[in-house]
Amino acid sequence: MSEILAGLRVLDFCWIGAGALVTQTLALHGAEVIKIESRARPDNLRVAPPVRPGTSGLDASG
Amino acid sequence: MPMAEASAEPAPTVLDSIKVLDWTDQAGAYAGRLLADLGADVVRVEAVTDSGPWPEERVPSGQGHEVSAFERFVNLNKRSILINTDTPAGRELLGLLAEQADIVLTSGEAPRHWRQAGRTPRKQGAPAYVNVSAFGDGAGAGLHADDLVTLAAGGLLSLGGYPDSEPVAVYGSQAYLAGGISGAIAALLGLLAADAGQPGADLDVSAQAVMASALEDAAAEFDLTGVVRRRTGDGLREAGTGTFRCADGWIVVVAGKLGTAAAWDSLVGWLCDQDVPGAEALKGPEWTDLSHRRLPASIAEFQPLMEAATSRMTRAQLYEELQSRRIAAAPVNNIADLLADPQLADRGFFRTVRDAVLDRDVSYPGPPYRLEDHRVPEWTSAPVPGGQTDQVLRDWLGTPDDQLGALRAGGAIG
Repeated sequence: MSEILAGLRVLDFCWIGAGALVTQTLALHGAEVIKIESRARPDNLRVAPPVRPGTSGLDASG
Repeated sequence: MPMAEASAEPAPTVLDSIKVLDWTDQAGAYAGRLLADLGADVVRVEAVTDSGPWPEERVPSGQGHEVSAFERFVNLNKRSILINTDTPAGRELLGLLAEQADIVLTSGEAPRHWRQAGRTPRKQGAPAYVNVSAFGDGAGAGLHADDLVTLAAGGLLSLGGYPDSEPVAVYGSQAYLAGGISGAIAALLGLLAADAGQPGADLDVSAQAVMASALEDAAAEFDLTGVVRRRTGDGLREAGTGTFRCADGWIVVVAGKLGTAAAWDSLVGWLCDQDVPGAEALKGPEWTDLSHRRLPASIAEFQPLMEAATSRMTRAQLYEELQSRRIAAAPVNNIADLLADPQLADRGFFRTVRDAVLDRDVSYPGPPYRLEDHRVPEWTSAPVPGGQTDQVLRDWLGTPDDQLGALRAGGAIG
């Protein structure tokens, strides 16, 4: 079976976890999910642990 | 068109005209319930040969026996048909019903019965076939489990409770419910695939995997740091966030990790306004640093200051007071609190249904969502097993009355 949601485009303005779990589910099934972010006011999860030791910043969080 | 006529047309439900054949046990029945809440015609198959009533949360029926409250909850809004799947005619009926269904749901022993009959729901033509099992297909298929075993196998049990004692399971049949939620998602994906012209879908839900998904970023944390996440209990992990004793119970406050800096300042301001001796010290600049608030010494200093204020107020007072200061806080509610909760009442969340078995009104949690352009159907009681056998066969298969009589006389239906 091909990806069921292929062709579906989603704009994701969610913060923290609850909304992101929705869009992750859509992405797992083939939707194109584009997360809208701000460097000035980043999603708190961007700076939340866990991070690899010795790394930091908006792209470090696991 | 006159307004009265326009408003007489009810809004559609999301799953209008969708037929669901639900041959599940405790592990998958919630999937059908969720689809029924969206307006699908969910027909529950009760096999004459099914084992006894479900064990969860038994309550007196008032008729000399007990029923499972969990069963009444997860089977709301369904119809029920009683079939003897040990008879050729019963198996034939099951196949005909699957041919008419848009979605077939199974869990427990049902897949084995299908295989023994030399059939599968997909071969019968149902566009989407969803099976919810503890481990899913694969090397562990067929291993035995119940809700607690699934919690353990999926890792969630290891994170409940205190670090120095045995693991504690989260209340309720959460593995069954979460498996059911994933089952409903899988069913909707299968419907979408069929709508898109794909040939249909066999969808295999592993409740173990669903539970492992609930561990969120624990796998990433292990990869990134080598740390195996462990249970922490409900002790304070930082000043400003945690569960605090109040005059009539407990209140949860989050003014730390995922709260805002403003929330911490507001919380300190509130403690000072309450004339808590020593609270002024929390205005020191070091306290604005989250890493300082996470030090054991900081937590030990903060907790008695906080509880000096919270212990002289009620949960309701604290809820109003802290929320008015833009601090995330809520009382630790029990079910009686929830039934009286004005927010849930405003949303019409709890609904009362006259139960067909218990013959009394029973309140149940409703769908957590509200729909803008679609109707949430009126609720009906969970069925008496086989309560709509004839009605379903007429509706789905057009079975005439004389044939119904013959099927019953032959033992194919109850």
